[in-house]
Amino acid sequence: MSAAATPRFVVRNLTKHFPLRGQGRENRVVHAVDDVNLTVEAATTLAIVGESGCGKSTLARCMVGLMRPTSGAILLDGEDLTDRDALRQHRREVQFVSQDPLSALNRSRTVGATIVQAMKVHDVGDSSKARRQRAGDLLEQVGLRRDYMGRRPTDLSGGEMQRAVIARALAVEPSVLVLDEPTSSLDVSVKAVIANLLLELQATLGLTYVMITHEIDLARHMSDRIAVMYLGRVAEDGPTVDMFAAAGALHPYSQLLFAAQPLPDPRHRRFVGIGGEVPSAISPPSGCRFHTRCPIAIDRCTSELPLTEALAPNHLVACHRASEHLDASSTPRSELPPSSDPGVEDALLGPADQGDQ
Amino acid sequence: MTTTRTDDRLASTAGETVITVDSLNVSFGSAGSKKHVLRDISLELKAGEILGIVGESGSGKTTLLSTILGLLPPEGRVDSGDIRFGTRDLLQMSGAERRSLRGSALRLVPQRAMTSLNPVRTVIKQFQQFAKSAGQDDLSAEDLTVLLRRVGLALEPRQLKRYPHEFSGGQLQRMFIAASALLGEPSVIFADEPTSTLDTTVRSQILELVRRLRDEVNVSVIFVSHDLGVVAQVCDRVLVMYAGEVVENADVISLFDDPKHPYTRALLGALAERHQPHEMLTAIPGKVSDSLRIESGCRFAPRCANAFEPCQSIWPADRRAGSSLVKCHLYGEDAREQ
Repeated sequence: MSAAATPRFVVRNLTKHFPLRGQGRENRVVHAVDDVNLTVEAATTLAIVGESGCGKSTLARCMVGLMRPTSGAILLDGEDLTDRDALRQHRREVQFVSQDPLSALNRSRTVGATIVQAMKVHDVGDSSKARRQRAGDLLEQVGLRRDYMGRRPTDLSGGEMQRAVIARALAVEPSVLVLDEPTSSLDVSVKAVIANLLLELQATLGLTYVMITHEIDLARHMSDRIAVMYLGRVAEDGPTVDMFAAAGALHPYSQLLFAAQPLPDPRHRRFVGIGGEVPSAISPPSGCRFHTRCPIAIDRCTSELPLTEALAPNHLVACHRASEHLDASSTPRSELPPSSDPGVEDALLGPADQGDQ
Repeated sequence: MTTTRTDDRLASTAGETVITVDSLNVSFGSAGSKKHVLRDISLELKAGEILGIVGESGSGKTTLLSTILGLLPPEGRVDSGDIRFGTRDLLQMSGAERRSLRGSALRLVPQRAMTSLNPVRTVIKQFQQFAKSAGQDDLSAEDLTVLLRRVGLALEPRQLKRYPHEFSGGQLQRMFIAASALLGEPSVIFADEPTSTLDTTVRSQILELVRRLRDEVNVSVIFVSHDLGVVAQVCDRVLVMYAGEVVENADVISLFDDPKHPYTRALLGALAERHQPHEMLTAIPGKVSDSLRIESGCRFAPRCANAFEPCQSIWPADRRAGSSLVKCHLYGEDAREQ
């Protein structure tokens, strides 16, 4: 990728607020996504990770044009998709693969009809015959037999349905796939099959992926970059290899999130948590949104919004304290208290869980 | 007819067996469309042990849990086998006796705390109900706040008058765990995918809580999960289930260091953590439904990379492989014939 080339997919200052209705709530909004900036180079994968309520699914819906952002831009090869005309023209190029494949398919239609319909809507293919031919080819490409054309979604297993959804997304020749938790409803062995399929398709078709997931292991395996979201904002956004290298993630939230992933290795047990509950997105905390739960927060964090800075090449972090730790070449992780349980590497962090919502 | 509640708790000494399941066979449906959903299941839960049951959808792990608890749906039938709690035969007990055991000696922590609570009753009222079945007649709001503090929930007595929807999933799951481990004197906690709907950082805290309470109150736990990471973090011993059978029974270190059954190996091979980034993961060809109808031969054979001649025709009973028990012809003779 040359530096001069326009990146394939860019999210610029994207904000999505949901107004609240009802008396006394007139001027209040849910801050679902606030001032998010992301860049995805062609034929690479950006994983967006975070826990419930961080805004990752709202962001995905804005990216594919299912939701209009409150402000900001979504650029596909430099064209702003928040412009209605541009969206109409380019909608085909950004396709969505949703979390629940059964709800993404029409249960009363055959798989073949669903795929052909997508082509019709987007004016792909010259004749019905050509479309049916292509639908069959696509099913084979995603590892299903041609005779699945005549089957209905409810006759398919979870993995087969997800393949069918991917085939439908590919039917309209997209350049970007937005994958919303593509494997989270699937069994371990099926998960592996879908992950392999997505990697293969990317290699053969040069697809660009934006993958929304809460599964850190999947993000690590599939992505080139990882963006960590917390309460509507991007806390950290960097190359996947750097995020899991020795220096690791630089934002305290990313560090805790990654460390909390249960490793399939009983010799390395660690239990990591974050005290308290996720604050309300209606009145998010001042300053850094993570300060109410952050183990290393200082006074400045409560009042001043941290700027997003490049602390390493291509590695953006929004934290007042990340740079000092980088300078001291000791990560904040060393401040974590030692564990009381001998079998445990890291201790539970933060204050006792507060009941107040 | 019913025994007194104090008798229900087993005097638990380390190493003693709390739950024994012996050659259990369960089927669904009647003659024509009979499905053999649990085949020859044997297990022992030791006092103070966390026993993991891991498997994919259709493996029968939830059916096994339901059978032990006496909660099989009406179409389910125990064809043969024994289930014992201490020395008492659970399958010979009356419905009333089994009901009184559930909630007192045997506790269930459900998958979704939110849908398992009554949405129109306050939390304190529901806890008082739990306490009553656990043999503790009056539970005040103050008692409950003390109890919840032990599971890391700092709530004021007035907050207990709230309804379930006013709490987060993690908070409710902590409450369920508090109710199952700390009210009365439980012997066994049955946790059915207790963390699968929780966020990563909350899940990790709940797993820590399960291990800590096990140590504090010396309760035994049967922990059902589809997540090998969770099982590795929390369990002492693990049963791997496939298509209604326990294909491998091993201590947790042996299972992850040296998996024996080809299915266990394939499952571990499917994990991203065991591969380089962007590398193809090991996939298992075929699907579970190919296996459920197999009555003679090994149920995993149609999908197994190591299948050879006897696998198609001879059912592999348990064999010893190191310290593990494995249902696989790769490991020599039937353990029962040795």
